[in-house]
Amino acid sequence: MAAPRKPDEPSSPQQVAFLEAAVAQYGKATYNFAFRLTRNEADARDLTQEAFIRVYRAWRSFKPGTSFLSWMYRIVTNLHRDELRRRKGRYQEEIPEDNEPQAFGTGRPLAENPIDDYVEAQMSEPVSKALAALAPEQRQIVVLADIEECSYQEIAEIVGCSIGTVRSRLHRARGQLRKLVNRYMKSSS
Amino acid sequence: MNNVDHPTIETLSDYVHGELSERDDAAVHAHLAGCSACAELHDIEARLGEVLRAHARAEERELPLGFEARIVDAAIASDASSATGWREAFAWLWRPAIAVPVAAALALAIYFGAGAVNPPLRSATIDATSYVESHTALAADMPFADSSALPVTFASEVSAR
Ligand SMILES: [Zn+2]
Repeated sequence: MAAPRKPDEPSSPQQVAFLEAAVAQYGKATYNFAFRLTRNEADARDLTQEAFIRVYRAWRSFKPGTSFLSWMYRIVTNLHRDELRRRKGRYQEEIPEDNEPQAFGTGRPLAENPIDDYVEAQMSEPVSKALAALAPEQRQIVVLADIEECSYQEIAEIVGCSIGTVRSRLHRARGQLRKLVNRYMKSSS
Repeated sequence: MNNVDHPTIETLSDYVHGELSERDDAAVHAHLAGCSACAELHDIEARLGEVLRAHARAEERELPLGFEARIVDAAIASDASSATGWREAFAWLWRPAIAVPVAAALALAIYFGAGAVNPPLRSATIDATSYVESHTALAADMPFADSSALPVTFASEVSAR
């Protein structure tokens, strides 16, 4: 069977420049977002790379004047969801291997908020474990709502569901997270 | 909502996320001022968000060395490799379970000179609108507008606050 032909579309210097600018400006944010979803550096790297490949291919679809990051979150979220679906066929439940808290990088910005010091000292491990133990779909909503501080409307657009669904998923996820944090706090004290 | 009706935990969460209507937001605000039990629940809700953001700041990662260049190379390579994008769009066609019967059906169709092929095969001529559409990104020097558009916060901004 003959492979379907791709339209004649050699990569242009503008296309490459667009990608380079996007990577330079949003690479780190995308990578950190991917890490927050996956809790795993290798998966975060794969997800980031794949997401920018999508950006490169679909660069004509991006409308200047709209939020690039919001588009990026959408691509990463979709890829992550597809990957989870693919894996679900193979594993009953996904339990990340490397869910231990990572050593802090040297490039880490200094904590400016008193709560940062408190979290680092008391809660880093329980929170890290709780996030890792959360179902991936729930983690996605929590990351978008509480860490990226997206509005319900933005999350609905990124995830592709209704605002009502965002609200109910977030409530369930936060309830579960609270329980998990408490459990890991107790077990570590 | 009045002072007798305590807000639900869901309402408090919506309040913390700034997702209540102006009226409900004001009602919860007024209620919290006079109800220590709800104020305590609110603090727990608010604190959970703070803790999560603090944790995210603490574990923020730099891009691995050389990763940016690798992304660009991979993207260009994916474009250059024969029709990767299309192969991916029709990935389901390549799965043996589907590819074999599809190939068989196609062979039969050719053999019997049947004009009509399965709809999925016809979709191989799927529109390439996104490739063909002219658009303004070509002309823009600095096409990204995150500073002025959606107030999406990302990690590097959080650390700068
Ligand atoms: Zn109350």
